[in-house]
Amino acid sequence: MRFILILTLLLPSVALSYPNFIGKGYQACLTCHYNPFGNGALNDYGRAVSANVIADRLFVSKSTTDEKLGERSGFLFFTPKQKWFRPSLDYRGMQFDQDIDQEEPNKKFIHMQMEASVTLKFGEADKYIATFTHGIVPDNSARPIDSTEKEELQFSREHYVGWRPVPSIGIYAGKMDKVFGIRVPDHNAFSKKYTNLHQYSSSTGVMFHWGKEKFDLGLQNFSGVGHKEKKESEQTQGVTGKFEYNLFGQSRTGVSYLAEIDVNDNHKSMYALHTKIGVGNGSSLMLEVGDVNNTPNGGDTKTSRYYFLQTHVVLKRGLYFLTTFENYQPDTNENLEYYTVAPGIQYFPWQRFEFRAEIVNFRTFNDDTTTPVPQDSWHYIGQIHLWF
Amino acid sequence: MVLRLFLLTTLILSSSAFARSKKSVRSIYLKTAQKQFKKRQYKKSIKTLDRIYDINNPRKLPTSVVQILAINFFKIKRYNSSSKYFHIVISRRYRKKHQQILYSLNNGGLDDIEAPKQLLRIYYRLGQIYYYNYSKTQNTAYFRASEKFFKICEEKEHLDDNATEYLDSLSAKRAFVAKKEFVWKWFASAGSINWQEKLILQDSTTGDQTKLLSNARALCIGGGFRYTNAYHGFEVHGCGFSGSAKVSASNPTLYAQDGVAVTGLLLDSGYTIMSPYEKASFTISLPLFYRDGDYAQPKNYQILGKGQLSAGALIKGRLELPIVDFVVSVGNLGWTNIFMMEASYTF
Repeated sequence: MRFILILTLLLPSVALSYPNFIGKGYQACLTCHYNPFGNGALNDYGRAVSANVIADRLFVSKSTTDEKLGERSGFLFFTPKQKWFRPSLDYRGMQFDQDIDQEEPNKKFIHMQMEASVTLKFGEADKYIATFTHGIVPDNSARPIDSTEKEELQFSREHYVGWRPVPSIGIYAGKMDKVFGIRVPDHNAFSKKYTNLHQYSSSTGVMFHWGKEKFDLGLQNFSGVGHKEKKESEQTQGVTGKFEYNLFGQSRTGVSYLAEIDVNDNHKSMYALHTKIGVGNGSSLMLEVGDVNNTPNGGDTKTSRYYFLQTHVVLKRGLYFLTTFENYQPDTNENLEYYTVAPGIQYFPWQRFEFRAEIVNFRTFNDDTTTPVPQDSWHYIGQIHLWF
Repeated sequence: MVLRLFLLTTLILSSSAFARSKKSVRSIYLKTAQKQFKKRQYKKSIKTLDRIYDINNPRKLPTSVVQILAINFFKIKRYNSSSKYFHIVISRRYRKKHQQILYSLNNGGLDDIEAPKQLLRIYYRLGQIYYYNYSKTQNTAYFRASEKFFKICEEKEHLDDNATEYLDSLSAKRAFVAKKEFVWKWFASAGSINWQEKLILQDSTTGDQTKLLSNARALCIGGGFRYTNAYHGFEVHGCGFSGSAKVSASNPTLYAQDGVAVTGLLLDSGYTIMSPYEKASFTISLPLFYRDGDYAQPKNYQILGKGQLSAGALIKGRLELPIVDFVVSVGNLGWTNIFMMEASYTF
C-alpha cells in the first residue's frame, strides 16, 4: 500500500511547459506555445527561444551563432519551408529508483510520453490554428492511476482549433488541458495529482482567453466523459477559470477556480492562489497553494490542501539547480500531512534534449499517537526528454 | 686700473658669449630631440635632453622641453613621468583655462567654453594615461581621472569617437572590477525547519533497545553573513529553533508521544557560487546541528539521543527577491535529514 502511495505521489509525467522561464522574462505562455496557457506544441518562436536562449551550447561550435541555432530549431533540424504546417515529436523516459537508501532499491524505467503532434496555422500572427496530438502509453509505462491495463494505450492527448480575432483575445474549442493553477511540467506534483490535472486530464470544451501585457484571463468549460484514458471518477464536466496579473517586475500572481462533477454525481470544487516570480535573468520561484473540496454524492464535503513550491537557480546557460517542496493534507480536519522535498538538477545541453535528476525525500507528519512515525523514504528520479 | 678694467670687460664679454653659446647649444639639443621624437626614437630623444638639461628637476626646464619629455615618456609607456610633465605644461600654459574647464565640467557642461586644441591633446593623453593606470591598478582615482579627461574630449569633439570608446571601455572595466570586489553582507533570517531523527528507548533493567523515530518541525530564527563577489564567496549562517516533534516506536503502543518540545541550534558555513545570471546563488556548506528534545521517559526506561549533535552537508539555493531573499536548504547529516525554507533580509 505504501509502495503504491509513494509511487502515485512521486511518479512524474509528461513535461511540456516550463513556467519557470518567467525568469527569462517570458510571462505569457502564448509567447512560446500555441496554447495560451502553455503545454502542448511549441510555436516557431518557442522553438527558436529554446535553441538560442534556453539550451546550453554543448558541442556546438563557436562559429555557430545563436541566430543560426534558432533557424535550425524546426522539425528535425530544418528551417520550415512553409508557414502553415508544424509537426513535432516528443519522448520522455524516466528512471525511477525507489527506496535508494535500502539495500535493494526497486528500480524501473518508464516510458512516460510518446507523442506526435501536428499544428496547422493560418493567417497573420497564427490567427487560426488547429492542433492534434496523439499519445502512446506503452504497456510498461506510466498508466492512468488505478489502471490494471497492460496493453498499449493510444489516445488523443489534445485536438483543438483556435481563433484569435484580435491578438489579445482567443477562442479555442476541442480537447485541451484544463486552465487552472501553474501549469508545471511535474504532472505528478500534489498541485496536479490531487486537482485531477495530470497527464490524462485534458478534456473537451471551449476556452476563452484574454491576454494583455500585464495579465491573462482564461475561462473554460469542459467535459471528459467518455475519454478512454480516464478512469471513471476522472470523467468529469465542469467549468474553470484563471486570472494572472503582473504585480511587479518579472512576476505573475493569480487565482484559479474550478468546479466539476463526475459521472457518479460526485462534486469537486477547488481554488488556488499562485505566483511565479522571475529572479535575475533565469532563476525563478513558483508557489501554488490550493484547497480541494470533494463532496461525494450524498456525502459530506472533505477539504484537502496542498502547496507546491519550486525554485530554479540558474548555474549556467541551460543548467538549473532546482528544489521542489510540496505538502499535501488529505483532510484539513486531520493532522496528516505528506511532505516531499526534491533537490535536483535540470539541464538542457542543447535544444531538443533535457535531462533532469532529482533525489526525492518523502516524509509523513501525523500527530496521531496510535500510528507510528514512518521512516523517511528516498528515491531517485532521472528523466530524459527529447523533442523534434 | 686699466688692467683691471680690461680684465673685467673681458670677463663680462666672455661670460656673455658663453651664455649665448650655451643657449645655442641647448637649442641644438632640443632640435635634435625633436627630430629624434619625429623618428620615433623616444628614448634617444629623452637622453639627448638629459645631456643638456637636468630633466629630473622639471621646475627648471623650459616648457617646450617639458612638453617633449611628456610625450616621449608617454610613448615609452612611462606613464607616471609622462603625467607629471603634462601637468607641468598645463600649470604653466593653461592654468586658468584648465581651471575654467574643470569648473564647467562639474557644473553643467562645456558648451560655453573654448578649449585650446593643444590642451585638448594633452587631456586626451592624460585620459589614456589614467586609463592604463586604472587597468593596471584598478584604483578608482585613476578611473575618475581618466573618465574626466575623456569626457572633456568627448564634449569638445576632440577625437570624440575614440574618447567615447574609451569611456565605454572604462565603464565595462569598472563593472568587471566591481564584480570581482568582495563585499560583506549581513543578513537576518527566519523560516521553518523540519527533520527526522532516530532515538533509542532503552530498558534500564534489561538493556534492551528499541528504535524510535521522531519527526520534528520548528521555527528557526537567526542570521549570518556572506562575503562574496559576483562570482563566488562564502557564507556563514546560524539560527536557533524551537518547535515540536512526534516520536514513536514502530509499534506505537510501546512508545509514542506527540507535541514534544524541541530546541536547538544550526550552524553552517560554506562555499557559495553566484549565478552568472544575477540575483541567485548556490551554496554547499558544512552544518553543525544540535537539538534537544523534552522526550518523556517511561518508568524503568531511558531515551538515548535526547540531545544530539550531527554534522554533514547542506546545499542551499538563494533567490534575491525584491525585498527579502528566499532560501531553500536541504541537508544530510548522517541519519538525520533537514529541510529548511527561510526568508532572509540583507542589511
